[in-house]
Amino acid sequence: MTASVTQTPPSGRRLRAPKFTMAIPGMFWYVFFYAIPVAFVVIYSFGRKPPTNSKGFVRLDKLSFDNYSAVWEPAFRHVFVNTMLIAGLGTILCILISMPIAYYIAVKTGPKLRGLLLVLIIVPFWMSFFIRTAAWRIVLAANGLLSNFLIDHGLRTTKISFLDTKEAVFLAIVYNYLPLMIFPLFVSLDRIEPALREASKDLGAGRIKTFFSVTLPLAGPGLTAGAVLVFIPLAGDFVTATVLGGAKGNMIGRNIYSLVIESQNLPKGAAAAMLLIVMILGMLAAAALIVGLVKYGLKQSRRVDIAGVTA
Amino acid sequence: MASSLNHDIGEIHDMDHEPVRILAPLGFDRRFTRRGFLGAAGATGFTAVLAACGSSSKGESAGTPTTAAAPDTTAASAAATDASAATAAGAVTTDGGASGATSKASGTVNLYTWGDYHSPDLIEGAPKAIGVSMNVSFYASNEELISKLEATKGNSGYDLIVPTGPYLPQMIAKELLLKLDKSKIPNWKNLDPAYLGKVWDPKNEWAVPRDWGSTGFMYDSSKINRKLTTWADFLDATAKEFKGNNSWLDTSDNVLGPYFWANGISWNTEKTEDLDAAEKALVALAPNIKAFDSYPSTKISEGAYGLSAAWNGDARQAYVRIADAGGDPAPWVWALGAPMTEIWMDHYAIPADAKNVEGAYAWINSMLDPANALTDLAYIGYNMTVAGTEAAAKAKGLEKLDMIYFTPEQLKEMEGGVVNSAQDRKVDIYNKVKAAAGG
Repeated sequence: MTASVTQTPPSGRRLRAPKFTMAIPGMFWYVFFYAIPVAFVVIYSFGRKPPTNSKGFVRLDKLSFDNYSAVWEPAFRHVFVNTMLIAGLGTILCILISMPIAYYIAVKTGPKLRGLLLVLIIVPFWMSFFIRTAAWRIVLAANGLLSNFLIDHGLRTTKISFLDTKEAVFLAIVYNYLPLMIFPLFVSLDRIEPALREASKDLGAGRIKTFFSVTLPLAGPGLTAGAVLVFIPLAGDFVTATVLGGAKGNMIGRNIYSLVIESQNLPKGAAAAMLLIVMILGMLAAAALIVGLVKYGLKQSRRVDIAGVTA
Repeated sequence: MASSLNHDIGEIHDMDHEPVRILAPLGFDRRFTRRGFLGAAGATGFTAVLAACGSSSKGESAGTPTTAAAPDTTAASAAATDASAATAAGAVTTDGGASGATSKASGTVNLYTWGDYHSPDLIEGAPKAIGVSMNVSFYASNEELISKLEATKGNSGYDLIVPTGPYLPQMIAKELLLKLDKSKIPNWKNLDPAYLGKVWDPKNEWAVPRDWGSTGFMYDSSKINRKLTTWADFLDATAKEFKGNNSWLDTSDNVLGPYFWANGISWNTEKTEDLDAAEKALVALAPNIKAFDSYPSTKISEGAYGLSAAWNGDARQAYVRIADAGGDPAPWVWALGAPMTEIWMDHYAIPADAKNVEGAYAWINSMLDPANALTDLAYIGYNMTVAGTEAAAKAKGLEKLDMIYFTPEQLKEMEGGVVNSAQDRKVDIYNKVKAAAGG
């Protein structure tokens, strides 16, 4: 009978999978579908294009920086700079427009209306990126809906010529990327406790001061996420510029496509793609630095000398 | 005509044609015109439905007299009769001799081709006529076609392609093509011998000539007080009356071509000084260009351009599209470029890794049937290589035949393109011109 007493108690150390197990599918995905392809792009960017009537799309016998100097000549450098300007301005426009919308949805609406508004913002995403960009042509064409409406109602005498301009590109960029900014902003604004704003009011801050001193800093992570989500795809976008910008919508994404497909020059296209990645990283680093400096400056200027008060 | 053609085309060493240089918008353009949409949608959706009854109905159509061409072959009314495309499909003919060769054909043929380049009636009628359904996708240039075949070698997924002559040697060298088995194309006999034995495929071992065309420009004469006839006029009007209101074709050859032709230089020049001069002049002119558009017809109907360089078939379709959109095509004037302009010829070819080779042969053979060639011509507006199509088109009284068939004088000024040592430099200039146009 005593045998039953000798039963060993359950071991405290059960066999456990290592902590990173859950990350394995994601890591697998990144390594095989991201890291390795990017490594190929890096290697190809140092190769050269094979002669026209021979097999293959890249020769790696003589590695050099030739492709980089070729895509950095003035004509293309101009396009790089242009792309960064469009992406930067587009991101700023998205922030300016998204902030009131996100604030309204997060703070001023009840739960029912909030759900509806969020769905409405997502609805355009049910359509393909390309189709919803191209749909603007129907509205904005010289013989299109808007033009005819304005002329029929005596608001204009001539047809509008808005398509195939830089302005048309900006319009569509803001339209296409706005939801990517609104959602992170909404989430971060939604998380701010109303009590914080009330406390700010109780301590004597006005609406504007409350927004800039309490709400905006707390929305910082959402703002950063939104800016990154908008800026990076925007810098590589060529659909919007091609569909609505005509000859004026020359962005680097289109040049890369043209180099790889039309010029059949994968190595040169790879070099341009690498330069784009470097420039995007540079821009993000610069933006982070500026934000950091502003924050630091504000902190310094708002320093309260508690020692002086108590003395 | 045939003899003069023979002579003129025989002189030409290479032809170049890379129509659809636009990236995505091309597909959009094509698919979003009413007819183009039906063509593309019909090819995928409608034919899939028909595929089920394809084999049984084929016997039926073989019994039908083969002379019943599409009910309406004028380009203008083709658009209006889209609704009846399904019935027209029944009229697609197979040559009596063809049925034996194509009896094995079944399944789906993945056709990789230029945008809006096949009569929707023929695409939709394929299941009934030859027992295969056609799944059509589009490429934008010969370079794109080659890049994609090369990158997905062995598994491209395409069964049939439509490359342009000068690009064939490159594709043969890269082992991208399947050698033709002419016993599977009984209708080969229908080809006009004038189009055989060209420099890019001297023994016609790799590709079946399909159609050919040229390049010119069209403009809205109500917006200008002078007549435009030459490429020099085109360049001049781009900088003046139609500044910021014009489109150029979106290929390296066709951006450089107008400059060379206007100055009496061959567009196949390999001279450094010619290329340098072209770069200087075109980069300076670029800010006046509104868009690079290989298929301006749709956007002309939107009211986007007053002056557009265009291939003759697309220009011909522009007249239909302007009317479709409720506009007035009357002020639009077509001018074949002068004193020189291009000539190009496209071919059917089968990729080396094609899965449905029998189906591809069945389609090629069926397209060499004179009645089908006429249906195709009425839609696309390019010279077909099937003998007698011109006479049939004239007998039918198709619209705007002067935009399809050229006079001996016009043929004399046409020059085929060559892929030569200047190619990389030309693409480089083309990219610089586009960068400069972005301002």
